[in-house]
Amino acid sequence: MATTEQSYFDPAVLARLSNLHLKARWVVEGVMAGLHRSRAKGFSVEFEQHREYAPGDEIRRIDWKALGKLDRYFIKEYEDESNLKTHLLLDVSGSMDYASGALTKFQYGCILVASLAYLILRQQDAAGLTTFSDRIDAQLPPKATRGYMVELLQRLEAETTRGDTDVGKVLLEVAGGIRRRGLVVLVSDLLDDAESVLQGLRLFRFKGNDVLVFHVMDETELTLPFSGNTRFEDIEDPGLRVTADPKAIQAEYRRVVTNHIDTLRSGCHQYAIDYQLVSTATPLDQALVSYLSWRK
Amino acid sequence: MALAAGVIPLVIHLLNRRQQKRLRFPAVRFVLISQRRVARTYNLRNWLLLAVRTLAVLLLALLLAHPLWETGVGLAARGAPLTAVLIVDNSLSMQVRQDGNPFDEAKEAAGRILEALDDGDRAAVIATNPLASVAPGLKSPEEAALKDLGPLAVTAGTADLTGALRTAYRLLRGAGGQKALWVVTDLGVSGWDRLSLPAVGEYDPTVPVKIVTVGPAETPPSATVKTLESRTADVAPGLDLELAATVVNFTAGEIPGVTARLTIDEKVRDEKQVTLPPGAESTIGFRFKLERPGSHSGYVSLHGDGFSGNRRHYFTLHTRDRLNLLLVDGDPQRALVASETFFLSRALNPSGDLANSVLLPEVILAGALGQVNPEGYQVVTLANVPDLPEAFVARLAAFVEGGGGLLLSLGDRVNAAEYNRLLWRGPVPLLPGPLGERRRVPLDQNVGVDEVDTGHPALAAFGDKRLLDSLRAAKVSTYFEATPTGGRVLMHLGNGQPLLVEKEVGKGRVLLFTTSADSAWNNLPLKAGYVPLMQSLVTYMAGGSRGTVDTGITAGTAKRWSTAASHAGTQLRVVDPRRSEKAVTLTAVGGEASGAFNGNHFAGIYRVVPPSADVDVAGLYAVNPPVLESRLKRMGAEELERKLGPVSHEVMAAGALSAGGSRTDLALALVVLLMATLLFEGWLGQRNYE
Repeated sequence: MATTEQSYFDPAVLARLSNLHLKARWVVEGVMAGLHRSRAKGFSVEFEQHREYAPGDEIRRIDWKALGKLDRYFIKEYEDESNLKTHLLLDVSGSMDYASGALTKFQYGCILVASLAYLILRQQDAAGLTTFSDRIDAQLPPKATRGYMVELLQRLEAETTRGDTDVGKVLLEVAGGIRRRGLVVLVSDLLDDAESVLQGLRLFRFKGNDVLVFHVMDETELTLPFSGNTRFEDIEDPGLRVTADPKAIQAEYRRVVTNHIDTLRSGCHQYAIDYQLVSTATPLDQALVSYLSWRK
Repeated sequence: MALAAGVIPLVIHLLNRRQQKRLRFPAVRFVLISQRRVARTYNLRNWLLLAVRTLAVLLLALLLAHPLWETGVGLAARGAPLTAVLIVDNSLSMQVRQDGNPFDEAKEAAGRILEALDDGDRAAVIATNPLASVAPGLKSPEEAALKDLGPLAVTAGTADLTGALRTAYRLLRGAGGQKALWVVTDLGVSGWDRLSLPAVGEYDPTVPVKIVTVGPAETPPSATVKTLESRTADVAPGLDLELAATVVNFTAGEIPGVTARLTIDEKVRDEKQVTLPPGAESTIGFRFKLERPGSHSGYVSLHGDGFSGNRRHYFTLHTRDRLNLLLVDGDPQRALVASETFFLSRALNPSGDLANSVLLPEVILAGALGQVNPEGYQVVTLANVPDLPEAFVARLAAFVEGGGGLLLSLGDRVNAAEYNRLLWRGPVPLLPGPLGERRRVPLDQNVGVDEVDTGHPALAAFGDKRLLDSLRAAKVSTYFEATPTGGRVLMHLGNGQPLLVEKEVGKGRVLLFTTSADSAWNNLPLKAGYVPLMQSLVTYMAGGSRGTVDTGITAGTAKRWSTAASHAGTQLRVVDPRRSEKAVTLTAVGGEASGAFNGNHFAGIYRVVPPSADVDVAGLYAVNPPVLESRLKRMGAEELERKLGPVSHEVMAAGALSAGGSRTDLALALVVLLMATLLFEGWLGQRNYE
């Protein structure tokens, strides 16, 4: 059974599915089937009205004061509960077009964003999409209609990788355009200066947004498992190349990468930003679970 | 070559650097940072790794070279058993110094080297001039000292270092463990100059040659007898004989007060006081007489202080009895000079002094032939004899068949038909062919001597061109035609007619001279070649040599004999000057019985004993050292370097052996070091990849 579940979210299995919508549904339905219903519910902050308790409602949402006054069970309902605006930010820079396994980081990110969009819209929240490299390439505003999912998926399927990475600059730009508080989900390999990235993320927080970061990396980027004299040529900048013996620098490389990740993670933690490092070899459910954890 | 293998790791390293893969990668910035951070350490480790690998290869090469660690002069062996081969120079130069005895020093030095060896080691002692009594082979050091070194003696020869090294390398080739090659020598140029490394064949340049020098390094004044020859033509008892010895002084200084002494049959016969001029040869003459015929032995010796070199030069004298020659004059005249035998008798004894001539001609008239018995003579000459009594012819035939010589010269009194009847068609045909017509050469024709068979022993003296030209200048006016059906023509006239014909009859010989012995039919008697011609002919007919002085052969070379094929299979006994006896078997080779004796190692007189009296070999022969063995000059370092070329060598004085010391095989230590290096290399390599 465990094997079946693992296969269900395995990027290698997902890679064989051609339709992005299908992939998103595959992932989301799979995740939802494994969770308790109540864990999928979120909170809101603005009280709107009472309604009578119905079986299946959470006990903790019963208004006990109303019960004392009226001797009847009422449930509190909030204004924003079904109107969360989620901004999905997907990095489509050249560096995302790299794979050592079945999926490139870009393909992995697309499935992840599609799955999140599907999940968000399924919960009748609003989801928008922004793709970027060193600039904003495309932007779809958040909407909560079911039919919007198709539009998002078409946009995603039309995307290709291009350009350099400048996450910090793009985040600042996106943050400036958000008028209402919401949730910002960033999917990127974050191959940029960590401080610059954190500065952009901090701006989202200052404007009252919740921020969820999916740091997507290929397994080989994390471990540099190569051998033999190798000439490394940068995907985004062909002028950047270096010849090295991977075995000789492997330990130092891992330290550098870990340091980069630690900087990002601690910076996120400092500003209450959810940070999730995902390898393209990581099953997609784990990424979604981290989202659902946030929702909880 | 092996050391060059040290560059292999460097080559591999450089090749590896060239073989790189290309990879498009998103996180090159992290690679670059890492590369910069580890570059210094990595490069340092990389070079260290290269150095360690190079060291490993060099250690392996060194291990294959079988290196030794030596202290002192490395006498004893440590670490592994040693096979030591000692070459001891036993050439004559090792024992002819007045200022020391290098050979004794050499034996002492070789003994010291053998003493330093352990029981488990193996050793062999090889002489540069091998003696039959010593068989070189690897033995225990004690046995080598006892059996090889103990009986070693100085020979009279020149050191054969090429042969000795060939034997040494052959012995070392099959040995394991450590190997050592010692040469104990006076470094005399005569021997070392002959060394040829290519002629040694398969040599091992990794075995160092340690040359231990003995004797004083300075070149002492030295002299020796170079040659010895007879000044008199005949060597026979009763004659006044003269020998001339050529003495050479090798040094730049004069050597005064030298006594040169002639000793024959252990009796001093003559003595001279001389001063030897610097760097030159001088001739010393000795006069003496022999009392008896046969073989004699002797030597010329040099006496005096202040000079070295071989002091004795041996020789043998082989005399024969004086020859009684009967000359029968068939045409005597009142004027002696016109007689038929005038020129012939004087040619055979030019001085007329019968006391000092080996040839004793006696002239009789033809009329006396009836009373003459030829048996008292060695050669009978019939010169223009008209009548031959049949009784005399019978005695003459018996004389020739018994080994006597007959010389027939013709003239106007000879009756060809009668000669043919008695001497050609008689019971014993003495003539080599029937005589033909008498021919007179027309005045306008010029017939002289043309072909002379100088390869024949009777005419060997005419190998000298001046003598030959003298004969060819002679003219012949009258001669008898002859058909040499049973003989060999030794001389021809210019018109192709035979002039001198030889025939063997029984044990004797007949020579037919087809013209006259006087000047009636030719002018030969007036030519310079006439005397040696007639003397050679009668000597030849009498059996060959007129006595010789023989300085024999050089030490180390072979003495050879050839005799009648019938003696094949018989043995000659050869007794050397040390009274050691060896047998030489004569074998049939090319129609003769031949034999050779190679054990002529010592200077002196060798005695040859044939199995029976009819085996015709000389009973004595002399062996002398090479003259240059007395040139006591030591080979210089540069010349030695040129000679030994690729073979590593070290020259030390015998005194240096007292430093002792040991040689340790570094193989084990190198193996340990190599293993440690490889382990370190493995660890370092691993560190580089961590």
